[in-house]
This record gives sequence, C-alpha cells and structure tokens, in this order.
Amino acid sequence: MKPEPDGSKSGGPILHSSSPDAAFREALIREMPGLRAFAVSLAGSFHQADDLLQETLLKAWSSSDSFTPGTNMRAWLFTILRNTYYSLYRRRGREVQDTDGVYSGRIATPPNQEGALDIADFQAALAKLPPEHRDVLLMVGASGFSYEEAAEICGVAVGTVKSRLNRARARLSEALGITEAADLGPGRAFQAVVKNQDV
Amino acid sequence: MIEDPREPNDRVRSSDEDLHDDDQGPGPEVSPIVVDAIAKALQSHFRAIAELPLPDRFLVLLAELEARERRNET
Repeated sequence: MKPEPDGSKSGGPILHSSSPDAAFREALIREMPGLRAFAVSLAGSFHQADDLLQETLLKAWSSSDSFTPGTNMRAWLFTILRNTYYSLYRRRGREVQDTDGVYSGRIATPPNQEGALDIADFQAALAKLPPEHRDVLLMVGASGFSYEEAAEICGVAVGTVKSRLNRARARLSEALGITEAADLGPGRAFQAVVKNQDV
Repeated sequence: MIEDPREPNDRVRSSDEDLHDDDQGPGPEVSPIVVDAIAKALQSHFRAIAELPLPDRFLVLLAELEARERRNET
C-alpha cells in the first residue's frame, strides 16, 4: 500500500477526470471523526484542526483518482492531512500552538477509571510534545496504524518511527512524573502511577 | 464558495528529514507499565474528540463538491 501524499502537481493522474463515487464519499464520511481527532490533537486547536480537515477533504476529493479502491483510505487521508499541516502551519524551529480549549475542558472526558492517568494532565503533556513525535504517537497509539504504515505516512524509516515513539513516551512519562514509578513491579507500579498523579 | 484545492499550499513533504535532529538511535526505553498507561490515556483522549458531533460545515462542503461535480458532468 502506498498512499499518494496529496493532490499535488507531481502526484500522477489527478483531478476531475472522473467523479468521486458514492463509495468514496461514504468512506470519507466514515473516516472523518478519527481524522478530526487526529487533526485536533496535532494542531492543538479546534479552529485550526477544522481548517485542516476542510483542506484535507478538498484535496482528497479533487485527487480521488489517485486513491486505489481497496487500499487503506485512512492512511491516505492521514497522509494528506499531515502533509497539509506541516506545509501550512509548521516550519522548522517554529511551533504553532493556537489552543482554543482542546486542553482546557472543552472536551468532556469520562471520569477516570482507577489506575488511569488524569486526562487533563495527559492532554497538557501531549500538547508539549514536538509535533513529529505527537503525530507518531497518535497514529500508532490511537489510530491503529502499524509501525510500517506510520513510517509510510511520515516518509521515514520504521526505525525512526520507533525512535519517535520511545522519545514521545519518555517525554510524557517525565512530564507526568511517572518515570520512577514505572521501575517498580507491575502491581505496585500501577498504584504508584496513580498516586504520583494525585488522581 | 469552494476554494480550488489545487492552487496554493500544495507543497508536499516527501519526508520529515528536516523536522528532527534527535531521532537517531532507538530512543529511551520506557517501562511497559508506563506504555500501557499512556496508551489508555491516549485512546481516551482520542475517543473523546472523535465522538464529538461533526460540524455541519463538512457535510455542507461535501454536498457542494457533489453539486459541482454534477454541474461539470452536464
């Protein structure tokens, strides 16, 4: 599976030579909630995420010819969205954080189960990760992509994906103060994690 | 009015090589307990957003795109 990155000029046969069919449209709609969750998490802002999602839908629609039915549409869409994000909003050395409530209570999350990390603390720590670490974590940890798929979406080696994952987890555990607790045995460690978080 | 998606901002990154300088090597190992706690929190966070109602603008956008396709076909 090789997702075409985008509706760009270099992307092969594109645009309006035939209409996206109903199946394509239905698949787009089906993927939108997960795509939006990824966009919000990546951009840190509903406003920016929805602009990103709109741009992604436009590009996906106009380059529907470059999507091969039967291949992974989710990966194809994530690739477009991610490329758009980095093209529009991020340049080397410049962070864009235009938070509009993502990490301050706009999202209603269920009460923590016993042993779970505090979700508000977690979201704040997630927002501070470098985007290229955050997106790999989201792709593999929440969106169900394999290392190989994440590597293809990002255009990097599988080893780089694993490295970013490790670094992202290490930064989160450090930010959340759970590094030392994790060194304990499994049963006690889990309790220690909870205690450290003052849940 | 729908913007032509082909016009600006179509620069494509084929790789992330210029985004990071510190991803060499495997990175620090994290305990499976921490990995598991992070995974659960991540999924909870992600699910909370994915379950929000989609803004109407996206379905409106798709309807406009479909209408434009129909006009182009006739």
